[in-house]
Amino acid sequence: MLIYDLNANPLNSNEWAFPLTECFHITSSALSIGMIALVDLRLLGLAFKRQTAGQLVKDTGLWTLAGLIIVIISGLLIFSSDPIRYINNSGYVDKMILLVLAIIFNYTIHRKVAFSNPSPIVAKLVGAISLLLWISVPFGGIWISFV
Amino acid sequence: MSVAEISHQIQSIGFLTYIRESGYTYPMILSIHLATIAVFGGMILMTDFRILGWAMREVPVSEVYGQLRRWKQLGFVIMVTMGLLLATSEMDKYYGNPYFLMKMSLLLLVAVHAIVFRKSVYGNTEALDRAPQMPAVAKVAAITSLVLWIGIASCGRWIAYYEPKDKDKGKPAFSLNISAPPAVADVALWK
Repeated sequence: MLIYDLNANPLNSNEWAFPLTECFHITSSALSIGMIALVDLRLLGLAFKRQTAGQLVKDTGLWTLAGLIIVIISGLLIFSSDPIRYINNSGYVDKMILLVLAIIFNYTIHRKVAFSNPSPIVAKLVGAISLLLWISVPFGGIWISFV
Repeated sequence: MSVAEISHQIQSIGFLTYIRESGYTYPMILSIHLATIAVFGGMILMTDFRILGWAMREVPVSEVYGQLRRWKQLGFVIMVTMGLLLATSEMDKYYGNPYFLMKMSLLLLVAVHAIVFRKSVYGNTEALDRAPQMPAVAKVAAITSLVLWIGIASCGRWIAYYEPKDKDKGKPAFSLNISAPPAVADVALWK
């Protein structure tokens, strides 16, 4: 059986590694969630009324994706600092469920609606669901330490 | 009165004591703080990216700035309010924390930044759109803003990792590292 020595992980032995990884995690999450929030505000009819939601998705899509990639890589690194404890942490499990839902929603319904010409009600509904989903992810992150 | 005494007086205020001692209020405020950073911090990044020509090039700078201004202001108010509640409710630990002080200094620099670039950049976005090329001063403003805000977020995270020499003075305020050595890891349980 493979034994994973937690102390061999630089995140647990180097005092700078863990916080630095978290900084990347938080900054890149702000990048991708902020970009998605722009589209959501447009869908909700609260900003950028002169642009279409689809145009905003095109303009921000690359940054959203870049942010998500960094968020996931840094998140996996943080996870590697103690996988078993994270898996057994209900806050972590909830966060992962919310994150997967948010990503799937973003690249399916959210995208489709943004590029179509949605009725205001559909647009608002999709914008609100997206915003709520993405806001719930950092909540889950904080909850990891408090459950 | 010493700084320590003043800090203690502050955190002893009724509702701040409540926040510190409650099971859910503290993480709730922290979560709102973080979620606001995610949503509205991203808008700050976007404004800077637009000036630097990294995103939303088809939309004029004045439009991006004008559309996001109110939202960023709203986000800033929520962020600062939640941050103040977090810091003042744990003032005993925060006042001597170098990362906290650094974060506050950087926030002060954000105010300086706003004043310095107000006339040439932020109050002048239509001229930026008319210019054949993005003026250097605007790019300097955007880069400075990026550095300041990433610095602020990073210092915020580092606050939790500072250990005072005198152990009795306090433990790290908050850490996400649930597996680190006791000095950091028992914080989750310590709440």
